[in-house]
Amino acid sequence: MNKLLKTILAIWAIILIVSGISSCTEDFLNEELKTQRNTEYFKTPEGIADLADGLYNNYRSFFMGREQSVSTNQCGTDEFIVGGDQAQQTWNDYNSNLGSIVPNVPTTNVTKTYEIWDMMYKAISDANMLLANVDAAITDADKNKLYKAEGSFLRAFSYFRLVQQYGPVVLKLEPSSGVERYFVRATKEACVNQIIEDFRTAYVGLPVAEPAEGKLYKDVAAHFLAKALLYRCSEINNDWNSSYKTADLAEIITLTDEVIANHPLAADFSDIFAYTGPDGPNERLPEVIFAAQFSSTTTVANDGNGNYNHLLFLSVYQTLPGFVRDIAGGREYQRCRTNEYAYSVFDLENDSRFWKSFKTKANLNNISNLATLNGTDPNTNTAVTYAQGDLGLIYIINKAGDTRFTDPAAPGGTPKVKSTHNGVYFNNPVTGKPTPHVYPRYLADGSGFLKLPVNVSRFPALSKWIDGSRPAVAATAGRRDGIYARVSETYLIKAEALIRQNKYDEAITVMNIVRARAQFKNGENRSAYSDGGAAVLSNSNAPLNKDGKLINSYCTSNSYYESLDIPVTTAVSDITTGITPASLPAVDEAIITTLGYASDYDRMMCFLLNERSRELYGELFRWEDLARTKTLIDRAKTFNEGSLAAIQDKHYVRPIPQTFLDAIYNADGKALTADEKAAMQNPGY
Amino acid sequence: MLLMFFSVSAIGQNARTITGKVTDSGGAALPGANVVVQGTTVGVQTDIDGNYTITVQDPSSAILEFSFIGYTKLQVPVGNQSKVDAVLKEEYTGIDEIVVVGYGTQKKSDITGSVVSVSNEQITARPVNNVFQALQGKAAGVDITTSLRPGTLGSISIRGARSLTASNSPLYVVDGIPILSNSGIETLNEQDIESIEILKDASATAIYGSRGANGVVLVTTKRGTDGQFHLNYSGTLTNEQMIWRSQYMDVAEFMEFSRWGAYYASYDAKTGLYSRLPGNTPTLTNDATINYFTAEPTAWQNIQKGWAGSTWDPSLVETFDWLGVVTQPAYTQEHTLSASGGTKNMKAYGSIGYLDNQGTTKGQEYRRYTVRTNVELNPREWITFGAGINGSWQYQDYGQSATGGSSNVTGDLIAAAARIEPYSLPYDEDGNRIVHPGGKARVWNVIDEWKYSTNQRETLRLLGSFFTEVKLLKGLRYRLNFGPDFRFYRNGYYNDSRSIVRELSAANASVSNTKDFSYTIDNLLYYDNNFGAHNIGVTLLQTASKWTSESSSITGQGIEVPSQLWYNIGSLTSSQLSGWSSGLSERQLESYMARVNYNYNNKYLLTLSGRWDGASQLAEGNKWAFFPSAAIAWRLDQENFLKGVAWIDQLKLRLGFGTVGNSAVDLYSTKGAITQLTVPFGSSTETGYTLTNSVANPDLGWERTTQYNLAVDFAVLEGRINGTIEAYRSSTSDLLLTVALPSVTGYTSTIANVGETSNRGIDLTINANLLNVSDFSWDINATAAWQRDKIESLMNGKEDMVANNWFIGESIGIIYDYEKVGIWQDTPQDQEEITLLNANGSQFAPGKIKVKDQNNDYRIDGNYDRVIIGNTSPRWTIGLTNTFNYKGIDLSMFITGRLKYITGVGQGLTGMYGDQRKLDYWTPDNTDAEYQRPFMSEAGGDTYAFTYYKDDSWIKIRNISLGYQLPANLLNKVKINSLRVFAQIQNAGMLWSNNNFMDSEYGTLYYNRGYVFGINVGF
Repeated sequence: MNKLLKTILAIWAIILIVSGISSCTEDFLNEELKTQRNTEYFKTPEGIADLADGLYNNYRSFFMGREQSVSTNQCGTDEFIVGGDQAQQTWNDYNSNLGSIVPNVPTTNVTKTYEIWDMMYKAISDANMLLANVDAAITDADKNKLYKAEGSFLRAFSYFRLVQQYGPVVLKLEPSSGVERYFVRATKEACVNQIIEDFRTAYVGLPVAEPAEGKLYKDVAAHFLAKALLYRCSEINNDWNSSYKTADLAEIITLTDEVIANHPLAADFSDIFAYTGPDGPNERLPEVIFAAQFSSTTTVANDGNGNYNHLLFLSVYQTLPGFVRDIAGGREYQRCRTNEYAYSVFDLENDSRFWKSFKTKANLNNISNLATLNGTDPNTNTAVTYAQGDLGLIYIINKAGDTRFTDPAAPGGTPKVKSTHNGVYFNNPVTGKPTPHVYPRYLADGSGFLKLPVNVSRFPALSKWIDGSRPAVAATAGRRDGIYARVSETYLIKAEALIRQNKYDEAITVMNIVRARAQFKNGENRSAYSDGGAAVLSNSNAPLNKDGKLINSYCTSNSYYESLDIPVTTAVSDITTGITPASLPAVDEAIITTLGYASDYDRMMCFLLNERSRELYGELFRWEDLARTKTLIDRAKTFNEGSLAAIQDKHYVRPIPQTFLDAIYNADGKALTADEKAAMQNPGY
Repeated sequence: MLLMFFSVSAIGQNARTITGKVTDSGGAALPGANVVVQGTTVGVQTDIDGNYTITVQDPSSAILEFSFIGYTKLQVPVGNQSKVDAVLKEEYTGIDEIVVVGYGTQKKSDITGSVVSVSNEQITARPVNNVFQALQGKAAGVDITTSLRPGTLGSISIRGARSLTASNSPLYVVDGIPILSNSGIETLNEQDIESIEILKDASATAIYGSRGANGVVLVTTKRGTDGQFHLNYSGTLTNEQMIWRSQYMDVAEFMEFSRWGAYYASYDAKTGLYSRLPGNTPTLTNDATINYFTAEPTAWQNIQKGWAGSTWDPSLVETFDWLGVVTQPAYTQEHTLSASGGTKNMKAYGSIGYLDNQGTTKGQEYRRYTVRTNVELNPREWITFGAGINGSWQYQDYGQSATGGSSNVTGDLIAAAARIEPYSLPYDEDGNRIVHPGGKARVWNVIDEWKYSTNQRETLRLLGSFFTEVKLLKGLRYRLNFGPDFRFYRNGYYNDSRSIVRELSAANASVSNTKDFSYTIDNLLYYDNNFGAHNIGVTLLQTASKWTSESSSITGQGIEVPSQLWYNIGSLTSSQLSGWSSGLSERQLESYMARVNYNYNNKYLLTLSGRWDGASQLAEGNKWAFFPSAAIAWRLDQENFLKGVAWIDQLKLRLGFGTVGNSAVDLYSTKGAITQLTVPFGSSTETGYTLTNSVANPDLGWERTTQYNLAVDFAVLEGRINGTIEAYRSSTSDLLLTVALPSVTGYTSTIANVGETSNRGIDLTINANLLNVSDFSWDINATAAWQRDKIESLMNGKEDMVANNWFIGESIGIIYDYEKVGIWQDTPQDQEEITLLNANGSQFAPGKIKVKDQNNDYRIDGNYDRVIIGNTSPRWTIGLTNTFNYKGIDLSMFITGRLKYITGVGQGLTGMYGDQRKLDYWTPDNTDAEYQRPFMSEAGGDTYAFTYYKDDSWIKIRNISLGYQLPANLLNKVKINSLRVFAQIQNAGMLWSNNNFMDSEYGTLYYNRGYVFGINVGF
């Protein structure tokens, strides 16, 4: 090769290198985000509209966020004790694990102290982003007002939960851009006043009519504003609230009357929970004021666990012979075990709500091991065989002194058909067969059978959240709406305000409206039962057994007659007549005696809190109700043996999360010292 | 190559015919060795068996000179002998080895940076599943861990950690092409690898600029050589068994343990009494009230067998070998057939390989098929074309997959089987399969589970490297490299409704596909020339890379036909689908680099380099950065004052400095993406948006590491002892940190360039030929590395970031927790302390874990009482190979270890399930126990149960190998060039471990021991 050619090639090579032939375009290094939008979008009118819709996902978070809803609002109250799975025992027992760091001991399911905290501040951040950008992007006055109302409501709603759980918190009212670490806690009064101010903005700006199912409207704001005012007047704020009380209580009456006028109670208590599928009739009842929306038509990416609560209250049936887990029966996470309080707060004979809130029966559903139950009944000497759909499990909520049931193993006990049968022997007069698995509340010798540690997984489960519409037995993502407000609570808010105004008779009148609905109606079949398991009947994904039959443990009756052992009746029951401040219903008087209340106010508040249980049992209000009225310690100690040992005054609020204390700085940019962190922590933690 | 000699066949009067054999120090015949009568042109070559015959004219004064390439010349006076055998010693050629460095090669003697070379012999010394395993313990400062699951990679880190949240994994370069997609070198067949060079210090890696911070692993594959044609087969067969370091409790132990748990759980706070009997006084009545025992009839009936007599006799309780059901003796086979050869104008190498690796857990398997071709063409003297393609197809049966299951399901089959209580049986008296043996909802019958749950991962990888090199003017070369890399990855899982993962709900299936394509184009200009004693080499580079990754996945439940697996998810209804996604990621990198190598008289060496890198994922204005390096070396052995010192063969001092970067930021981190939501309202939906958890940082730039390296390379006593000692210190600034934010901001994290870490260490490599007596030799190769990393500053200067577990002056990986100091005892002093602590919210009691109240305020809390317990990455890593040779027999033993680090060994007790290993727990009769008293409840466990931290140092015998090289004369008859057979024991066991109950390398109670038989044949 001659020298000239080589020189030409050499020059050519140098040109190639210098010019960078393989990246001839200047924007080779540009990074383009093709698959997502970015925050600039929130500066446009469309962006604000989409952000406003996105706000609603935050209402879903509380239900999607695994177990926080139950651990922070049901555990450690009078309503439930710890079930067979102790994942949330820390929250029930107020034991030493309940500190600023809730450790993973030994299950990761335990709710961490920071979970609700983080969740609420995330919602506040979305709301702040909207409120900060709305004026620049939205010039239309009506829309501007609406978006501000929606943003303010979410912010108030989130701070309301934060303040109820953690006491005074950091008030953050502007969105963050970049790294911000200097924060201090505001006063309780400032926090509560901010909440009320934001709810008022929402109340003024929201439309009167519900624009779409699940969207905010004026009555939602009215209900929550009333609730926030009631909180301000509650005992937990007695050290600073005296100047607000009179006006607040008057305003509550006005607000609740407004809401009540627009929302009739559902005819039957069970209508509210008669879930037959996503977005079914029960979710559109006028009684429901506001609910977090779940449905089957959402993308998975942001549905997470769906509504998770169907898992947490159930007792175990899958390990009993003749049973297998199915969709209607649900997955038994058994975090919350129904307890003696549930059996004693209801007038079991006349108040239908116990029988419509708890599941007392289940049908055999496992044909593959039904045969193991068959045998000869040694008591009647007849052969018994079981078929799928026969009654398999019954909880009998009898009264002390009932002599029908004995321990089969004890001397003189009635023997069971076979060792595969569990609990006690009971030849069911309704079915004419011995029921294989029978758990009465009391045995003949007076012992509380359901109370025994060995029966920790055996209890009539709260059925309000059961979801038979899930696509698989193991599916955790529930599709039932999460009710935040229904009008019977509005009545009880009004009744509480009246009690706080010392208008006890008026309060009783209001409560009786709710109680009247709970009575058995004329002609009503008292043993009829329904829950969300019914949705399995129209669930095309429900598994079939090898005979092609739906695997279904759902039972349409309850154990009303088996429990009470009374003749069948279809008469009206009465729980409203004759109630006066001095003479409250017997079940309430018994609890008042136990708790040792004497003053009219205390007696009436006790009656009201009992009524809230009866109406709203397991609907995720309880811990906050008891904390705000400062009745938590008495009630938890009396009815929740787990809470007894450790609960003390500091437990009226939760510990401030260590993740927060560790991540913040002082004004001078230095991390907090241990002393400074301790000073910022709630007392006692 | 070999000079040709002609034997003069004139036989004089004095002439004598001498015969003999030439062998190497190991006794192997040296065919083709030269035997020359000194001072004459008379010479012959040895035959294939190393034998020669030569006629010497004047034998009494003649000297025979034996020589062979790579061996030291030997002179032997003939005297009156007629048979002269010669044993040639291998010449020390270490310093003349050619070593691959970034964008070129260098003589080892000319290298100024820190480069470790691992040869093919070292890589293939034992059968491995991937190249990573082969490197373990072979290079000082390279810390590698391996995995027990076939086809799953361990981890690698070079000279410790520098980055806090950015990646610490090195850059891989295969035949000059940097790999951009995930992993890469595990898809290569280790038999195809000629050598692996690991660039450790910044002066060596700086030519890779922004990607050099964590070291660079250069892989060079085999190519053909001029004039020699080879055909080789190598194969191994391995049998692996699971070996347990500790056992689970048997029936007697587990029952007593549980009874104690029930006893402590029966404490009544009101009365201060226990309602149960203590664990050491069993009664049937007590057992019958423990729900734990009675929950399931068959298990309870089995327990009752132990009560057949009047007293408890656990030996009457039937047991079932649950672990035996899910484990298997595993077989692994590996075969590689390769051919290579070349002429003056063309060289080629090709191979096909097959690996089938069964797991010791049922259902786990890994298969890999590889093909490799390397071709080089020299059509004209001035131009070379090269093409290399590596194709591999990998199939990994991951085994039982917990993906898509509930959180109740354990991650693998061994854990699921271990969880079953020892008294539980698989079938009831009627022969029905018990779904929950023992009756606990989270304990499942594992029989046949491997048939019901499968996760199959397939990877197709095509890795190419193509080049053209043109010789231009004298010393000037131009080279174009093109490296395309295609990766297709499919991950499919199917869990039958009978699988425990599904908890009996409908079968689910998922498939995800990922397609990565990347390419690199390099334009390179080389100039090398000598000007007298001045040698100069210049490299100029322009390069650009692009990486594109596309993915999609879908998940659903309700698969009707098990054989469908994930292949017909379309048969599901839309409501049965539970997940679907697709995505796109793109990344570009553009760079310019210049390097000068200067060498004066082979004594003084200098390397200077600079690289400018621009990366797409960094913010506008911060994309480009400059990474310089400089290194000098002084070859003292070339100095006159050392030339006379015979025992020194090599002595070189090196000093290097360099700055390298790390841009391992997630893509689009500066873009402030927001999350799209579909929000339901009743049965209709709306599109909504929400903020993400991480706030965008538009100022993101490079993380930079500057490192100084000081080293001595030495070889003494004819190279019998040689090695390297290196010391380094690096500091990393502008750390890319995922910083925890207080959630009050609405965000929980952001990525930022903040803070500084430092890292220092010593790497030591010594190779020694300790013994060389006649046919016997003993060699040692030892590596040892010490390193310590330290956080210098963080977000706000010298302020700790407790929320991230980062503390100034401490290592990057540390444990920050309560300090366990023992177990509370039932003594007056302890009771007094307990009372004071419990008054402030603790729930201590005798038998529970005692943690230190650091500030003595009798309140245990997160602000005052947590301390730094220790570091989690090892300070020391070591490797030691002993090799013994006797004639054709070689015996070697490889030892490796990691030292000085701690691990959380868990609570030791679960108190819930059967997976309770035998341990020393507290009871009133056993108060000096290591572990706390048993607990029966899941959340009522000891608050501080996770504070068991242990020094986790270990040294293990990785393998022992015995090989035999068959004599050539034997093989010659069957036309075989060479044949070696060998047998090995892999993972022979722990030599020393501080952790007496588990294999610390894997974090499990067991490890796999393998027995290997292998064969290498050359035709």
